[in-house]
Amino acid sequence: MVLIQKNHAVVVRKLLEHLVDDFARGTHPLEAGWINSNGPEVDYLFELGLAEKDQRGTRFRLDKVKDIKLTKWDESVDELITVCSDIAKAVKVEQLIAKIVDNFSDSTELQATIFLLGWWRMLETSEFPVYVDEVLQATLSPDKWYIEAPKASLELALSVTKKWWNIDIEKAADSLSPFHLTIPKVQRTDEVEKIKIVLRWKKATELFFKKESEALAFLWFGDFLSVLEGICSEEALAFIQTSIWGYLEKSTGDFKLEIAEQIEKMIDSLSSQQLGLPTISWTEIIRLPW
Amino acid sequence: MSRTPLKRWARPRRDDLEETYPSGRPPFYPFPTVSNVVNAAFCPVAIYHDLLHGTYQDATSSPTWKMKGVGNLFHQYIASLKSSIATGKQDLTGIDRARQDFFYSFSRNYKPERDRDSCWNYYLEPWVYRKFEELRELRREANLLFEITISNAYVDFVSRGKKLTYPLLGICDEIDIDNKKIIDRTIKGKYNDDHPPLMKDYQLWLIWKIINSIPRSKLPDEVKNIDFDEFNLVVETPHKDFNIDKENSTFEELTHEAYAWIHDVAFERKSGYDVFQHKRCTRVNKVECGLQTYCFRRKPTFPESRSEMRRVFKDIYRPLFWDQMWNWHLFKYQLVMIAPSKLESLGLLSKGKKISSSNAKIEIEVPEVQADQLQAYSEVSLRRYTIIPFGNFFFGKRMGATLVERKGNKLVMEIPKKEFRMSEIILILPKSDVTIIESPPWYLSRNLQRSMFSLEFIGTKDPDKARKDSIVQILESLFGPKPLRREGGSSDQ
Repeated sequence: MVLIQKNHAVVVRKLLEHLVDDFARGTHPLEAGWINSNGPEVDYLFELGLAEKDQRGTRFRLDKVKDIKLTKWDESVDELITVCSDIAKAVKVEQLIAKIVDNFSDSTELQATIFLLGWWRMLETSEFPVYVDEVLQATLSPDKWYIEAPKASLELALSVTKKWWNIDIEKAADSLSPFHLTIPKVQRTDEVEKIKIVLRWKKATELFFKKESEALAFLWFGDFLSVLEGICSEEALAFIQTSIWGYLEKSTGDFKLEIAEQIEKMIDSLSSQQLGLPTISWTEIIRLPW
Repeated sequence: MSRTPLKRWARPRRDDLEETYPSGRPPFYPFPTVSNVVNAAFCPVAIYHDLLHGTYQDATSSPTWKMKGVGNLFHQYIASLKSSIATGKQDLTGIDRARQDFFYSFSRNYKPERDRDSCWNYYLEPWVYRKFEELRELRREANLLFEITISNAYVDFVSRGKKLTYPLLGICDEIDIDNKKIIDRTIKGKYNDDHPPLMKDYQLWLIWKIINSIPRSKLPDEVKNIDFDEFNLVVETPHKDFNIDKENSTFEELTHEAYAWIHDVAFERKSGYDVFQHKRCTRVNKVECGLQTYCFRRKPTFPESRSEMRRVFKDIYRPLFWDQMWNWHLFKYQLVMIAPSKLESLGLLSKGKKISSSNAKIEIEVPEVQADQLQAYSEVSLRRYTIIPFGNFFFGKRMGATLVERKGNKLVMEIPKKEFRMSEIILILPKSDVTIIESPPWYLSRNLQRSMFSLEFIGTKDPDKARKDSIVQILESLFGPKPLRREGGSSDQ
């Protein structure tokens, strides 16, 4: 931890403000924060390895933000440090995603695993809202439904993944290890079959299309990584989602709006399968993050 | 800000209006207020906070909580002063009389006193000085209407030569019928301003658009023959008056974009990060906005499970807004889309005849069966209702009233001690929109949104404090990996 003396807090604030402002205006974090600033305070930060210089000027090193601490509490600087730490985490997530995408072509196992993780995350975070009569008919109680259904998420996600990949969960875990990721240890349930009946999962799985399902999985994988890193600021979260949409646009050749519309159509087709009173609220289960 | 205008605004179908059981995503779009539209036009993040986080303030309000309520006092005093002069109850002989005899007696219950004094010194005194001659010349029986609620499900706006209609509700500060003026007042603004305070011109323009869109047949008899198209629009600050141009293509376009944002925030999950990409300002370069404290609040390091908590809450905010749409927005549609006779049969309205009114009390005669219904409702509403003593749901004065006595089919209600025009027919709404006490649950779901959003910012940066903080620890258990178990105390507990 590098302690920043009171007399250096002003220049730290100035550099961090510039970084945050550039980022908020859409500049990529790795390109953000350059400013023409000189003087002994800047030199001091440079000596400490906290700032960097080139022909564009000087800027605070994003990767060093988490390492600084003020000797005297300054609310505005502290707030900037918090935001910059989130930006740094978002960059880390973006780089990890880029690395994973680079490896996709060599490893179908990796593709399947990311798909599995994304779908697991999406399902696990849904409340599985269904009509209570359906739950009772499957001999489950409503309170048990809300406890058990999320525990079935991994199995449900696995069954969707198996529609396109022959995945082995153990090998899947291995494919994540180069990225220092693991499949989370999740609670399981003995009620998976009953839960599948209530959700008419077999029929639903037939209606999941690969391109749309992959897009959903990738977006939710981003959400999974954001939470894993503990990112809280809306700006940083928006940056991650924007990056992922960028990858999706590049890989599918479609625009974001088109992809979102296709996903909506897929959800609509699930909903329209239900005759009469809808028994499953698909829009709250199969959904975009945010 | 750019948003493709919607092709059409979905309103409730006949069965939604009359008998649909509320469930899930509403099949109709919101019925926004002028504040909602101004927020959406100002910044998409503002409308995001407004609809999903249940924030109190709007973008045009002061960004500080200090002197909260002063703006209201400013409005109420001017309305009261002008009404008193117009009814002959007050003679304005000098500024001192406006202050000593009238303001301090009018605001005697206002607390804190320091804010009351500031209201006079900073806002009312310059206004009274400026308007003194105008006030003295105010004739008896002047045709003035204050705080009129105006609402229509079909307000016209033009987009590239094409007409689109949206629902909109607003409150007009003053309509001066004799001088053909529609006035919007604000405590914002400075001596040397060349322009009206931010978005105030747009706010007034929206109000005029609603008034102008109401079909004559729907206006109350008292204003049915008035052509509001001829009225001037005036934004009044304490220091200046600004005339607002009614022909404004920028405002027209802004409105379409605002409604598109309202739709997207209400229904589209992806709007969640769209709004932050289109935000008006940044943490470092903030613009003047009443919602600054919501946008740039600090999030302490602990609880560490905050990001998961945030995600869980994000899934709840929108259904809570849908709850408000079913309970409150649908009601706004009902009031202007269903015939009054049908509203009566649905139990949404009672029509009473004014018998007498004096001393902040009004006696209203209603049909016997409705008197029973209203009394039954008083058990759950704490005897509070909304009444419309003048006008109707399209154009009328709405106020809270408390049932104090029932004599057969006659109801005695307590109303605010104010000067206002009263019709012979009084409309009584069992549902209410005035304060939390008299509100159905829509207001509670808004409070819940606000409380959850506050919880997103709770915590501490100090790890030692975090370990001892029961709220932080319970959040770590609920949203993080910490096992939920009782801690502390002796081992045999």
